[in-house]
Amino acid sequence: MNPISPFTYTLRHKGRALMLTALLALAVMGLYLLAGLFQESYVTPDYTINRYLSKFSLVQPDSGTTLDPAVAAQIRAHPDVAQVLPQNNVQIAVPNVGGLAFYFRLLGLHEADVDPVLAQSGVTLVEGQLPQPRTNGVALSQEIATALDLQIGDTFDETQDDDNVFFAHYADIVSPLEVVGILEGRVRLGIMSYEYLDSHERYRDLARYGLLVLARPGRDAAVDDFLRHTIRSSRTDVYTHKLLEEATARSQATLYVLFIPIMLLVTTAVTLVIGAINQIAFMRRLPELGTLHAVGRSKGWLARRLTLETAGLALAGWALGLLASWGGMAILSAAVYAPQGFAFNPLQAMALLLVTPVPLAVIGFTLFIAVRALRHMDAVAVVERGELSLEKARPDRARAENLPRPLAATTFYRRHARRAATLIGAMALMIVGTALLVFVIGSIWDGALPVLANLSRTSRISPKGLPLEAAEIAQIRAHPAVARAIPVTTISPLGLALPLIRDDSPLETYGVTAEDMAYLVELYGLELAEGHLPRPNSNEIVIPWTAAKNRDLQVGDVIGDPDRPVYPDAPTLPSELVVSGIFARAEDPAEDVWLSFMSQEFVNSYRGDWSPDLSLIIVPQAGHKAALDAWLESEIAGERRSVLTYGKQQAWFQEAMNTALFTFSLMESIIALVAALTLAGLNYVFVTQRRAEFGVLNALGFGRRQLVWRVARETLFITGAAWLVGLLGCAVILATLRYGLYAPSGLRLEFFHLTPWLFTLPIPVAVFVVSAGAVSWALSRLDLVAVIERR
Amino acid sequence: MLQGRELTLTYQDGDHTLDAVHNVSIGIEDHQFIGILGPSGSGKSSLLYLLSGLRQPTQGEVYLDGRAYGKMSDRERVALRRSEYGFVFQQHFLINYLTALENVMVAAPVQDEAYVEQTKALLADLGMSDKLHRFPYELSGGERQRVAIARAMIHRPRVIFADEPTGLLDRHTGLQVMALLRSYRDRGSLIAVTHNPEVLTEADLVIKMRDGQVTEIKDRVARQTQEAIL
Repeated sequence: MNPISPFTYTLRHKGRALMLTALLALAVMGLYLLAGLFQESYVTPDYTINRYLSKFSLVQPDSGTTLDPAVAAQIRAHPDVAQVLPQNNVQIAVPNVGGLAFYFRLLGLHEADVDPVLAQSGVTLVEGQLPQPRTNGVALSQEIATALDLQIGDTFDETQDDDNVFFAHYADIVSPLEVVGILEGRVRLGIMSYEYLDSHERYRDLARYGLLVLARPGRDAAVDDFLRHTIRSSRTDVYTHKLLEEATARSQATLYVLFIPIMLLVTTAVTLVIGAINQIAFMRRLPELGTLHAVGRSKGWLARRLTLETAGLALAGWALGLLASWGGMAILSAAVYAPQGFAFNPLQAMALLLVTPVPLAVIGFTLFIAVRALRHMDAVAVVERGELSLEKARPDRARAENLPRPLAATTFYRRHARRAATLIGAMALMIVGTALLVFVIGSIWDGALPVLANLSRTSRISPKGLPLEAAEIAQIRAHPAVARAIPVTTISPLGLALPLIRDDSPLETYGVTAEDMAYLVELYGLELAEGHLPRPNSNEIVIPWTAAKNRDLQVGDVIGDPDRPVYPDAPTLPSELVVSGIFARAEDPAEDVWLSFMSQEFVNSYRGDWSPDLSLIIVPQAGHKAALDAWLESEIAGERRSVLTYGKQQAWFQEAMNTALFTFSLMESIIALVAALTLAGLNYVFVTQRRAEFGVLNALGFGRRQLVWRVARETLFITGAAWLVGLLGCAVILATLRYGLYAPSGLRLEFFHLTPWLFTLPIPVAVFVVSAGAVSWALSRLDLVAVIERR
Repeated sequence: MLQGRELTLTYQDGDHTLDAVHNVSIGIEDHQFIGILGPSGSGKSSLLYLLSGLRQPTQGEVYLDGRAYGKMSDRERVALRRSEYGFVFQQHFLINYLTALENVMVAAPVQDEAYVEQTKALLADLGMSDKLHRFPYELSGGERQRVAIARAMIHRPRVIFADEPTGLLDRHTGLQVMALLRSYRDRGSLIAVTHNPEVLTEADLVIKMRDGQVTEIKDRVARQTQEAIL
């Protein structure tokens, strides 16, 4: 064996080597799993279920059901287009493990076109049959059927949805569809009969009509390019693989925005901790290094050797962490994601990219420490005196204020400011790194909450398939707890851009009579900041302050004009609408109601285009809201009636938030474990350096229990300080989000939701428990008298 | 006051056992200065650790005012060391992140302003009034040992145990340190372990040890008589 090989020290100090390798591996695993699972839960599913766009493209009118014939002719005439097939489609939302749902089109095709589409897509029928013309049959890819828990023979429609305003899977399936076949292939498809959708009275208005464009072999890129740049317009929507990739890339970019800071924080923390451990080790090895220097090894050689020792461990930890991550991801994919139709590849390029800087940062910092330590090393002094005191290198500590209680919990760290800074900094970074994600998710939820605010005063009944009937409305009005039942038509002419969310949040607009509008405006406590309420039969709309701010709208602005969209991708409306008024913003966030109003007569005049169903807004008698909601939920809600009550929506909302938070808790527990072990390891090293101090204190009459208690108090002090610094960091980030991202969009972000703040606790608690436990264990095994004995 | 009876301390060294102290009996009275003399490995420090309660004997018993250490719990023995005994070691064992004043305060029964003043006065008596704010690594060897002596005296213990207190000091400084320790006899007893007979000239009793056993006990009169004869 080469005694001065970088591996010799590692082999002779296996405990230390194992500790550093394990720390690195845990950090890598924590980051990889966090990024990988987030990607597979929130980004990849959208791409995965729409990847059929890599086989063909879709062209549809922006509004209405008919594509401009000139556009269709232009597409057919393009030389790279092999085939143009008419299609219509309706959408369903496919749920995934992360608690979200992703839109998926059920493509309506003529019988003759089904086989070419399947062949082009590399998809085959593996069970059942293909949909017959003019029937409600649907052939679904196995993964989609699995995600929706559907089998051959099952039917699905809007009646199976909960009345949840946030998550509806079959909102557009107004009449039952039956699963008749299961498909298998490289892309996911849902195929049904064109004629069925076209001939069904209710689907005809709902379905989107357009063309399915197949490129000639090898000309996919050219067709994609042609559709995106020539055909795509404010009146014509185009869906191509390139656009899907761009949308996925944008989601990915959002993910990077979230994860790069987390990666940096965790990497910095791990680097600081390992750097501190290395620095202590280097100082202990000064006699060895001084001797080697004295016998002719240069400082550069010594620095390289020290760095190579750590590099070997860092790379081993990185490799082990990756292997463990891949194993973990493979298990999760097979056990959790595959049963829900979203199996994935454990090898994730983005996650790999995020964890690569970890070992590099550790190696770089180690080199820096080694060079710095060796620069001041006086080899002669080292070999003469045996060691070079660290303390002597600090002239700033020459005079210190005497403390009346030298054994106080704060003394050690007051006199070791750099150690304290390392521990506090590393821990605070980890706290911010993990809690940041929860704060961001929490802020997204915050942004969505006002959608429910109107339900705190009224409830709503909407039809599912079967319109509300006069007798039914009369029965509801007759209920003693009902003060008023107001018929409204609901449309969504605008979308609000919520930070960090790809899809706009639709702004609900009630079409009501002038009398009901005035009543509801007063009931919801809305006040006009400027302008006036929409006049009967006019194309006017009154919008909330948030919508005006979010979309930069003023009184007099026109929305819905395809040639002058108020924001990119603004929907084209059957008729242009003019903003006639803007509601003032409520002072109390709980009172903030995101509702806009229009003339019911005007909306009804476009019934064919907007196809609004009549809903009922139920106003309770004072003090009877709870009883009325209970009655509505038990007596009215059902397959044909959707009842929206505040309590139920809030409960669903909370459930969805809890699911997300549970996922994050699991992820945070990995990081908390890394933090706890890393920082406990560092604290343990710090404490073992103080053996002489504990020995002499024991000799002077301080019992083992007192010493453990003192170390526990010191640890409590340092973790408490780190927690406070972490809280401050979170508050700064939250303030940045609030004033930098939310306020400019007209949105509020609450500072004082308890849950995200609770996510700052696991790391300091874990660090304290593991650290105090490890040190207590070490002290209980330490022969304190042997420390001061001269045997 | 302090008595050790038939003390034996056995260490296990692989398959062999080694008696660091073998069947030693000793008695110390108030205000006595006892010296324990012997070469390295003679068991003198081990005897000091037994008498101070830092180690428990394999056989025999130590009594303070008739109370046997063996009948006391660990906590009681620890409390005894804190209230009744003071320690000075060959290495100063000062806590390196505490100042001279703070190192002494560590042993004060109560950490309050009154004791801060007492500590300052004590350090001033030991010639350290201008070094109160200094950290151990900013002090010379003799100064560190003076701080260690102050730490041993601050709570007015009944016995100070000094284990080779001059071992790392030059002769002149060593004699100064011993003079400081001897001065404590007005308030309590002093038991000093050393291999240097010169520092024990003022001792009331000198116990010589070799291979863990007492080979000779001489009081001051006997030593002075012997010196006169020589």
